Amino acid sequence: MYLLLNNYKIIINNLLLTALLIFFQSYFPSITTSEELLLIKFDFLLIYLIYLSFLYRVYLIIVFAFFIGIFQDLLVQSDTVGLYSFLKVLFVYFIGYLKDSNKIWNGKFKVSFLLILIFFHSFLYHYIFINDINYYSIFYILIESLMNLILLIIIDKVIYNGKIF
Amino acid sequence: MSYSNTSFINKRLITLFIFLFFSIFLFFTNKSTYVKKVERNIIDFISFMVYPKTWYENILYIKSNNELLVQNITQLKLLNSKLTNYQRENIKLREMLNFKESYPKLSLLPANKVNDNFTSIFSIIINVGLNDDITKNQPVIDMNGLVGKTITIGNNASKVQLITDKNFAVSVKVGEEMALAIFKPTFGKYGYLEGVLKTLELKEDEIIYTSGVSEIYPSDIPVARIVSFTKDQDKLTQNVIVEVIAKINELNYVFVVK
Repeated sequence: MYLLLNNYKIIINNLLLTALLIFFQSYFPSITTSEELLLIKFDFLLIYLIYLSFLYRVYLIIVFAFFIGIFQDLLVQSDTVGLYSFLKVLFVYFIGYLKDSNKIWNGKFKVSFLLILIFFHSFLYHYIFINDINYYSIFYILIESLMNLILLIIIDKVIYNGKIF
Repeated sequence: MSYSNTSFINKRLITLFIFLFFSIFLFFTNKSTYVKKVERNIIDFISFMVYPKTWYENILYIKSNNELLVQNITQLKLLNSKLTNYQRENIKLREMLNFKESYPKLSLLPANKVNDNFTSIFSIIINVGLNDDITKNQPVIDMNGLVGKTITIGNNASKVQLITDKNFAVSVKVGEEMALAIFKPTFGKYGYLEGVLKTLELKEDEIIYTSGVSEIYPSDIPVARIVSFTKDQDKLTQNVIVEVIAKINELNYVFVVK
């Protein structure tokens, strides 16, 4: 009974945190760039999904990522519903590899792997909206990926006590 | 990898594919410009990926088409050569018709050479015989001149002794004085004239004709052309070398003089 109650508690806590993050994500300021329609912003939900993948079973988080993605799509860009859910589902699946090999890979490799994953996530998202991909846009996407990665490292060190790195 | 891990990975994969499918489905149900852009890019990508296959298929198609065209060309070439042969034959037959009409006094029966016959003498076989009222010793000519005479007659075919046969001889008239002489073959298309007096004036390339003295050959059929003539002091007659006018080696159609 206690365990069942504990499970509900976890689910409710996570749902509340998710709602809070979606709200936070929606109103968090973004940095405008020289490229039209390319805004650099933190993706808190993405970082949150990484941690959820580490804490719970990955296939459950894939389902969760799908719904978070749908919410994010509806909030950010209703013309492309399904885009964030697609990217987040794929992202979480590859985070599963990081989770499986967390003890084998060294820190640098993990950072590189995450950077590549976040970069491709951002790149594919922005690719849909940008008319022409050029060096500047790739640079901005890289900056955004690095920002998210740094935030992830900080959260990992401060809150989760180095669970990933 | 343990069984439980494998099971999780399978669950992951299944979940991934299910939710990717839902995501893609949701995405492509939109009709926004962004979705259309993605559709365009996907189409371009697919086109790029299948390009080698299309290229290879095109090559195969071109190859098979090429084979078919080569076959057609061969057929057309054969048809063309057949038509060309018909044209040549037509021209030849027209010439023969004109030739026949140019000899109104002679009754000419056209015949076709069936085969060469080298068994005993130089001869040919023609496709007319007793059924066409052909008899032995009838002269045979082509459009150029005397070819020979019939020697053996069958019901539907006859053997013709050629003018180039060693045993052949024909009485001819030569020179402006129409002096009589005997044509005898020597080798190939060449022959000589026997009995041409030294006093007789001859010209090179002069045509000699049948004299009409013989019972077999009517007069004025071209026989040969003078190639050269020499006079020996110890002889009464000239040495006259002649060339047979009839195209013995190219015989196809001939006429039997009746």
